[in-house]
Amino acid sequence: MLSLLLLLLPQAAAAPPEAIVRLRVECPPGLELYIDSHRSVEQGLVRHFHTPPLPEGRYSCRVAWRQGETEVACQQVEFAAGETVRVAYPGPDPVVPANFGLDLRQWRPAAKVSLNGQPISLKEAERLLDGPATTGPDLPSDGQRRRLTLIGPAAARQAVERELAGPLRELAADYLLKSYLPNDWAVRLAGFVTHGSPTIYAQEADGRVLFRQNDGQDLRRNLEAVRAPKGNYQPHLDPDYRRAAPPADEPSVLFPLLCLVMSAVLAGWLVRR
Amino acid sequence: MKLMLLAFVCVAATAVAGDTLVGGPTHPSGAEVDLDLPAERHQANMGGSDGAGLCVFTAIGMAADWAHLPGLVDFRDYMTRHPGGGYPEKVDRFLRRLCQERGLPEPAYLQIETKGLDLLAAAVRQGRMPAVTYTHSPTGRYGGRRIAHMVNLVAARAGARRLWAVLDNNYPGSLEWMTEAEFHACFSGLGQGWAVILLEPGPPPPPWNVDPSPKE
Repeated sequence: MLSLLLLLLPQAAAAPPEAIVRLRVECPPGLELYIDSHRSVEQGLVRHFHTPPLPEGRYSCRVAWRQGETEVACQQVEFAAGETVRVAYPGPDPVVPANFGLDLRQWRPAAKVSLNGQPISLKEAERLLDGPATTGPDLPSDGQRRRLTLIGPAAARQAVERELAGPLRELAADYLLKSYLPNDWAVRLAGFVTHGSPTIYAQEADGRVLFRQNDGQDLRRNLEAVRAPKGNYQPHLDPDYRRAAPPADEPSVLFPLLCLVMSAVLAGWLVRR
Repeated sequence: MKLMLLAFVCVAATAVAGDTLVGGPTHPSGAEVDLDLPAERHQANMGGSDGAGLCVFTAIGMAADWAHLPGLVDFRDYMTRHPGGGYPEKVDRFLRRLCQERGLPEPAYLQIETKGLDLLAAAVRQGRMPAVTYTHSPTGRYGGRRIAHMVNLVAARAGARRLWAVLDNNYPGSLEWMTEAEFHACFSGLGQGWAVILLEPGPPPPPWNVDPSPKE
């Protein structure tokens, strides 16, 4: 909290802590707040100030609200040592809004980021939002990763989870893993098959199903199958439009053979004639 | 010419005004919600032991439901035994307390106080549901007055119009769609916006496959 001297009376000798005066001043967005010509650097709709312990007596200060160079409102506030004073903005619209659960007395807005209560940098927050701590620069972010979903009784799922954390760890690293009971809304309402023990889904990030199995047997085979290159891929057929001519197909023996056959037929016909 | 210009202005104005509305998971423009928490899972705000609202904890509970953290889904109900009102340090304190009482590991979560929207958009893009401050309703809820509230962000820069949508725990069962400028004003209307983001990913997308003939 910002501590200010608001006094018109002589400075205090030693005074008890309970003689501190606390001010709670409303300030609409877009206005600046001045206490006895000192500009508040606090943010927020409600700003908090306190004085040092004051001797017994009455005091006052001038609270002003400015928009740029223009003073839009002011108020002379009187208080006694030890008082807590609430200063409402005297404008037409209420500053303190209808509140559904934000504690504006305790929340002091300030630009900051934390992870489980510990301050971190903005960059670190961006990295964490992208994915798990092990994510490297070449790995996709969570929104782009394949999904592995286990659905079924807890014991069946846990057996598969142990396998995925153990011997299948390397294959499982490609996936975001989630595990659900069959009646969980996330799978029940989305059309997943849920009667397996467990049902195991592998999906692309957009939901396309790579494979599904209704038990935990031989999961490795499915995981390896969707990882391996497809048998119908021929790299030499990939277009490269920088080349002058389109890529040639693999030379076929059919056409020359056909020509030979046709030539033989024609030659035979001519000889007969 | 003047008539054409007027017609164009009217159409343009209507199109822009039509972005902001209360609706469902699909906006009339075709934009789809990014984080489609079913209406049956929406929670309504309640009061704490002193009557003060629990919007912060209600929003975090719905985010936990999205992230499949079942031990935190009833965060709102847990907090009805305590005074209401939320702020970042209180979230830290009571999240820790609830997890300790229930023997749960504390989930990883961010608390961000910012005026910018890029981190929120990134969270939504990665399937995480932020709880965000909300200071007025652009569709006129709450009589148009200023509010101090926390809701869930369920769409960010969605569709061609880059729309945003919130799930307001005072209005469960519906979504409020708006432009980015409107959402920015709502989010940071208290001088700074505040968001709570659980880092556990959301549910898998609905399954589909290329072959139309079903296996089952």
